Amino acid sequence: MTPLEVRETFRKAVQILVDENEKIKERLLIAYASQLSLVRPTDPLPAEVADEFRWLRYALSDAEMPYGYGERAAKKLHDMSDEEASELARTIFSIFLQLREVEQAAAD
Amino acid sequence: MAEACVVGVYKSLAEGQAAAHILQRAEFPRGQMMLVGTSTERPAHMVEDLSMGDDSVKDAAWGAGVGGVLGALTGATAGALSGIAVLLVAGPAAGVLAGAVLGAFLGSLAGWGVHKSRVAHYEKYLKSGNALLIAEGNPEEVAHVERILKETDTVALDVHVLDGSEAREIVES
Repeated sequence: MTPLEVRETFRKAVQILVDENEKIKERLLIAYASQLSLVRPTDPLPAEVADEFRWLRYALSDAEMPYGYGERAAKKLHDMSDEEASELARTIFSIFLQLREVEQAAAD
Repeated sequence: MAEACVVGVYKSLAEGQAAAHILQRAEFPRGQMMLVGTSTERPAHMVEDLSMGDDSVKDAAWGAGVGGVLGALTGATAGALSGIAVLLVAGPAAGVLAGAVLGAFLGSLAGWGVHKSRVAHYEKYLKSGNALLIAEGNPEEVAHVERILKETDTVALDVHVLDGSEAREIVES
């Protein structure tokens, strides 16, 4: 992914968190599985958000392919509280805002 | 023509429907997905009238060699799911017809690259009330789908390629 694609992926994840009608855990699963799971650790994330994204990713899923290691997002979300899920959703929004700021700073 | 497919097994038709929705949010083409279930309880918003689906529903179904009972997902909440082919092999089609439809579907799986040895597993899953979500495409699309569905609550998740060789089974619980 290019930096622009990473930012767009986060924008779509935020959009999903906003416009889905499900409960927070379901919204988070949709946002993570359909968008953020596709961001790879090797993708170009700005240093400002790299650690936060690493933490977010681990909090939502540490499932490795091929299977056999770690827990997938559905399981991790099932085991966490709504408050924890809300915190992760806020983190996604925060990373998106930071990505926009980095992009705008680069453009100036 | 599809070169490969992913088959996700879910505990229920509703869970399969939720996974299909995730693929849609990932902008995976609706016409390349099919949801198959034997549940006598349909997910909300599912209707049987094929005419309510667009042509891609029929194309997907016939392309898969399935001439069974099809429905299209419509309705307010599930509106975004409209266009996914849905095959129900129980409920209204219970009995002999259900058996025939199930047989036709299982027979058609070879067209998606599913190895014979795996077809029997899918039959067991379906007869146990599980649902199958099948997504077909080129290897890149299939890898994309596999990556997404691995985060969902699958009972099993397999990748198959059209040359008939069976890919690894990556989830079994």
